[in-house]
Amino acid sequence: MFLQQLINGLAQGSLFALIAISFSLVWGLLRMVNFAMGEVYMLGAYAGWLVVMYATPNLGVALVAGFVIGWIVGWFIEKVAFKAMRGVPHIASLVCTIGFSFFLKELASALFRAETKSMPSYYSDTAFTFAEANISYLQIIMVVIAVVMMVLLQILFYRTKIGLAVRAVALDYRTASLMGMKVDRVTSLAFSLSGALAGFVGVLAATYYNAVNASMGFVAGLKGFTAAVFGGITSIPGAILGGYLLGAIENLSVKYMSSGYRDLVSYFILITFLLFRPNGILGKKAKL
Amino acid sequence: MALLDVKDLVVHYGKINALKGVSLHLDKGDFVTLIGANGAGKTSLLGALSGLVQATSGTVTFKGGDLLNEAPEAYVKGGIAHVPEGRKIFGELSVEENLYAGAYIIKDKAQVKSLLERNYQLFPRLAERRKQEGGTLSGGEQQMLAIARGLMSDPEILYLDEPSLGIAPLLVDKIFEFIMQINAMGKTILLVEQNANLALQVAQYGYVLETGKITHEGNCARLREDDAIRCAYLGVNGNGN
Ligand SMILES: Nc1ncnc2c1ncn2[C@@H]1O[C@H](COP(=O)(O)OP(=O)(O)OP(=O)(O)O)[C@@H](O)[C@H]1O
Ligand SMILES: [Mg+2]
Repeated sequence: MFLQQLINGLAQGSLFALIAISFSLVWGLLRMVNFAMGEVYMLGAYAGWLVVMYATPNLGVALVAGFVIGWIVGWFIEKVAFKAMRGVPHIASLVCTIGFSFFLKELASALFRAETKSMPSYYSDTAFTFAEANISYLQIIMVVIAVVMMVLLQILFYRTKIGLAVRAVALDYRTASLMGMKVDRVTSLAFSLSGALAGFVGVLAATYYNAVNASMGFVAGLKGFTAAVFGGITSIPGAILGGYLLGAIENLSVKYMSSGYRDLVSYFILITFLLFRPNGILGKKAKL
Repeated sequence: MALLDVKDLVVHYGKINALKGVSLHLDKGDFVTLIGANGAGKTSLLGALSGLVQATSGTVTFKGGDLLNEAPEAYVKGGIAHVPEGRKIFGELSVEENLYAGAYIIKDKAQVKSLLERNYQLFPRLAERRKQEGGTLSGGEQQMLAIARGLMSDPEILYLDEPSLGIAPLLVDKIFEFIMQINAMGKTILLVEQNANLALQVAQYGYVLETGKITHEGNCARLREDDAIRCAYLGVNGNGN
């Protein structure tokens, strides 16, 4: 039972970790939180669902659709909430993303009705059983995809020219502009990428839970944010650590407490860390 | 033809009038210095000449082309490198990454490599520390890195904003030797300094900026002898002691 919960925690932690990375990207660049991240994830999930219901049962295509929709919505949010609001106090952008969060949720319930859509299962068979714990193919795939995504991001940020520009702009955009870096374009790119990641994870999550609905983004966004704060929102490694730890803790708490406490544990972590260690486990030193 | 020609440049920050019509002129290969007290407008001038600060009016002509109020990248691409006040090293990037950032506009990888090697030859200290984080360098080393990063875009003209600021006197001499060496390599230099003594010794031509206006200009040798300048900037009284 312990092992089973740990495995479930690892699979779910992959989802948390990827959303947490989205938060870290935006935080690293703008010292900002995009509170509509969960809704981007939800729209990605709908995009994936539409693909498998009406176009092709291919899950790969669905994931790409989630990625693309997330990219577009992320791009749009940056233009409205951040670029257009440059120069006004930070809080205005923050409130604007909260506005987006409500707007996108209402938009989705208007377009797709309130009831939950069921997403078909993929690779849900047990791959192998180990000490009475079942591990499905999907769980393995999720962890693999998460790890591949993280490696790709690491390569993007540490081995490419545009990655160097993102890090330089995050550190000091004025000086970066003196080097000829296009601050607006770099910011927009990173923001869109964070949206794309959220949209992509939305499809993955819809497949894992077999469900899509307009309010799925709220809890997912909060969990991703919690994971980022938990591990350390200033860095991608921190976000990953926070994601997996949160996944493990949540699932193990189900074993030791009633399952009703599951979300409570997360919120407890969020509030505790925001109050006493806002830079997370890895601390301020960790970098994008 | 002038490399950089500035006429009647005016800069405002809201109601504050930081530059009140500044004109200056640099030819290719020149070593020009601009001296002035705190708040005279030196940094604002360099900012307006590299796209960081919006000018209210005036003209900025570089190699015959108009460059007033363009985006910063237009200035770098044109051949201008601005080494900012306070060095502004990317503290969490390695020395080498800082240098690569400086070469951002250069597409040709082989050229970037050769610029990197040339900088490491010029500044062996940086070569030894290439993997170290920029923020962990000493002040003097950071200034060298800032200058090297400026050179990475292979500019024709290099602006230096107070390179002696907050650096031990011994290292200041070293840094000024580097600057003279860079000028000898054929780069045009516009050096902003509060340390007028030093600046007027190394440069050929000088401007004096006072609260947003140029009050004196001339060959540095002549400015060094000017009583008003000796008194106000060189720490000597008017009788020539
Ligand atoms: N961003 C800004 N907003 C408002 N006022 C500014 C700004 N930057 C500079 N100023 C004002 O413009 C004037 C010129 O400042 P500037 O930094 O150009 O002077 P400086 O000669 O470089 O001084 P220092 O030797 O101290 O570096 C000062 O009065 C300063 O207060
Ligand atoms: Mg200054």
